[in-house]
Amino acid sequence: MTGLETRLRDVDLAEPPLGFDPDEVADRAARRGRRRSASVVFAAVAALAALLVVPAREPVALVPSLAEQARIRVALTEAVTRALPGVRDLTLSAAGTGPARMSVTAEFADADGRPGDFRLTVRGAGAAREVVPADGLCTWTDQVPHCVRLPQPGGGVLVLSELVYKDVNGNLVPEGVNGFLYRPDGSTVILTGGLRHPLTEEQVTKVITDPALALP
Amino acid sequence: MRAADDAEFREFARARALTLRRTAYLLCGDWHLAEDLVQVTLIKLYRVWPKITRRGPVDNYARQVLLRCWLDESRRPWRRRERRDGVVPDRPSPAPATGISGPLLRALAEVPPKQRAAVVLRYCADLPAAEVAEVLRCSEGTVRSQAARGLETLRGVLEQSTERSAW
Repeated sequence: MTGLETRLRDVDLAEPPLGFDPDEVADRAARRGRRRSASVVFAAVAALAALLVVPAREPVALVPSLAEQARIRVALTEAVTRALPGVRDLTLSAAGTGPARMSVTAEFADADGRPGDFRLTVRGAGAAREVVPADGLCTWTDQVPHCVRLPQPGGGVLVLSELVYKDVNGNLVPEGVNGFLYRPDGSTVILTGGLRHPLTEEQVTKVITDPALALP
Repeated sequence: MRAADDAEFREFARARALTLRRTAYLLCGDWHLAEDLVQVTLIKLYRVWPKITRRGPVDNYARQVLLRCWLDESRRPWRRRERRDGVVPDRPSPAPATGISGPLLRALAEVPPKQRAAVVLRYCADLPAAEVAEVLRCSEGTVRSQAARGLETLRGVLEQSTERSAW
């Protein structure tokens, strides 16, 4: 066996806690199954009765529309420009969408030309269950040397934490400041710092507390 | 679905969610996407659960569905990077890898999808070639050649990144 094969077998991930509840996924799958069965019955009845009836549907969290995603990207561009004066070459990459959720990766060069990046995830109240509760955020891993909870005006809480990771030599390397904004309505904004030129706490705070970065 | 099947599925989902997410992450390099893929996989499995459990263990079937979900997802146009200069690149932006295997994970993201799948299942998940073949729906010979080519690509990427960091 080669050294590379061994390294792959022993691959070590800094795994975050599971962001969803498997039982909730099963509930969702069961609901979809029931809805599908109901649709079949409904279609048959509708054909027989020749009536157009709209079936009742439970409220579901929707994937943000393209317009909504574009609005968030514009808001993020403005927030980054305010938080990092002189920022240039700002590139936003779609990093995933889901019900009441969208993620964006931002890459940029700061005023001194140093490259940096971070990821921002905006969630509406409908996706609140996907997020680790604010209470347990500072304790879910022992690799959090610094973590503060800051109550926000008007309710909600902002958690700023700094993670570290072990490099190949076992040295602890700071990974940058991560920010978690929990709003009173259940919506959240999460900014995770990249490995290059991490943002300061002040910059993270300026970006994620921007009220325009919100989904219904 | 019968209550007994539903309970069995929930037990499977609870027991395997982390393992499936780990495999998904090794394939896509993004924890958010990995969680999406696992959830979609579980929902698809739920639909056919009574049928597949009658055929025997479902782990490989679950990996097969996960792999298909990832390949489908990676082909979607919105997974490609958006840029403001009008140039559309053809590779997604991998999330920064963390943990002591960061450089290896970043290099893995550079390996073409089919080779990466063979490498992840064969080495990271430590599956026998026969099981990988079942997941990838190909012959054991194809698995061996894809895994070998994947390792070769990976080795090349790692060597290049070592040279770059030595500069």
